[in-house]
Amino acid sequence: MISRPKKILIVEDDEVSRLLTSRILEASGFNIYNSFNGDEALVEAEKLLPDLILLDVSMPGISGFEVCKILKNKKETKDIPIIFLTGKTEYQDLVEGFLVGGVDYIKKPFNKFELLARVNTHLELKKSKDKIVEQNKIKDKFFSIIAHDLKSPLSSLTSLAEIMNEEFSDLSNDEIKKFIGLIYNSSRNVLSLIENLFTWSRSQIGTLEIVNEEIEIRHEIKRSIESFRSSARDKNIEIVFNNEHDLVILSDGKIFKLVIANLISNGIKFTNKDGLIEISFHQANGKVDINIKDNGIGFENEDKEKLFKLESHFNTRGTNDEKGTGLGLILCKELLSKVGAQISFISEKDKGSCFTVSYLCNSNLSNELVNQ
Amino acid sequence: MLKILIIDDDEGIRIYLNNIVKKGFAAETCQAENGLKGLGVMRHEKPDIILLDISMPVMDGLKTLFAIRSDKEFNKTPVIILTANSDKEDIAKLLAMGISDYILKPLVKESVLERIKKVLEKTNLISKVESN
Repeated sequence: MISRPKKILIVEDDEVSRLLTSRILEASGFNIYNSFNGDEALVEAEKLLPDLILLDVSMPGISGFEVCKILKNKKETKDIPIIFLTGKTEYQDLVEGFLVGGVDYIKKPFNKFELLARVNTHLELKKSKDKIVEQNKIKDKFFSIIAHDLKSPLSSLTSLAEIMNEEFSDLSNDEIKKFIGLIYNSSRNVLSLIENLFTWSRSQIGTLEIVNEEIEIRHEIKRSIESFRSSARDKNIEIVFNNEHDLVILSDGKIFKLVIANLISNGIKFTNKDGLIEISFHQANGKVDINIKDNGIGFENEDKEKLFKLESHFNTRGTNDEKGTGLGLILCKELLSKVGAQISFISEKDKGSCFTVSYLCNSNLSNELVNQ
Repeated sequence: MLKILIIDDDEGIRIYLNNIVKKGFAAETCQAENGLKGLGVMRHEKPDIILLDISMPVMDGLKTLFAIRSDKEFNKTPVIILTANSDKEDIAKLLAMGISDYILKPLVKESVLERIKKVLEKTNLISKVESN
């Protein structure tokens, strides 16, 4: 990905020094903007939102330290790294610069390489900080959603267990059977949420090990379908899977299983009673496409955008939240991207959805068809 | 006899609430699995109090609450929200929409009964509870 040139605002009343600094930085590919005093700098910084500010300390009017203090108190500008340009070398002056929120200082007259080194260092630090803040936000959101989604099936589980515990002898066999069925479904929901959470956290902290192995697609899909027979039966949903020949791909088996399980589970969740889920795969144009199609409730156009975004899912939490929705898909997309595979879908409100997972064929295995 | 409408998409939760309010208040109950069906049941059964889940398919609790509050006949009917979300801002919004109280999931019997009882006392519906 090509990143845009970084914007640097130079605030300096001395023209020679300003031109020199601009020239050095421009030659290194930065976009340079200039302010000649503190007042101008405050306006420019807010308008421009530069990636970094080089700020002279001694200027007519507001001093550099004052400018820095004001910028650090404004929400929009508080995170912009500010490096002071200073002729002052007294210990107290340097410390004051840090106290008002500066990240570094460069003593004038400065050396070109020192200037570039310090600017690049702080741009890199800012980038890392932004990334950490963003990851932290995503993590908080994820946990918040997980906590919410776990509570519902757990609530059902403990509530039913409580009735059975306290009133077992008063319950009929039919009631007990029904309760056990509900408890089974709820506990399965809890388990798959926890599995998703662990896999996601391993993938986030980088301990998810990708182990390529030969995956017999037909065999694995059949196994996954079997594990959902009971919940499909509860809604009288038919799962059709007619591929007669197996196909082998080389990829991570855990990820494959998790993705297929999430997609089948979603299909069942969002398909009405007596519905139909059709699963198929085929090989074409160097890819293996696995389709999981349902005739369920589908998605509104406005919701399609949100499906793979953690942030937007969070925003709609509690209003259109069908238990567990979205999390699995976000995880599927992330895990598939780690093994070079893709997920896409088409969907129509009240008609149904079709999710497609595309794996690249491995050259040594691509034509290997195993007769069952 | 007190009549309570339970709206929750989770069958286990409906069974549970039905069980404890019947025992706790000798109440009559009616149920629905989503807000849309819940509104229909409400108009037909005319409950004294409504227990309303927030996260539901088809029509969620917020939209349902809005519809209840816009209905002349039921805009004073006490609504207690059932939610797994303990976010204070979200709860404040619900309280501002005129709910009587909220109960956090996972549900605890004593707390559910206590909260419903308080709302019944506040709204003078407690007289409908037959002692048993």
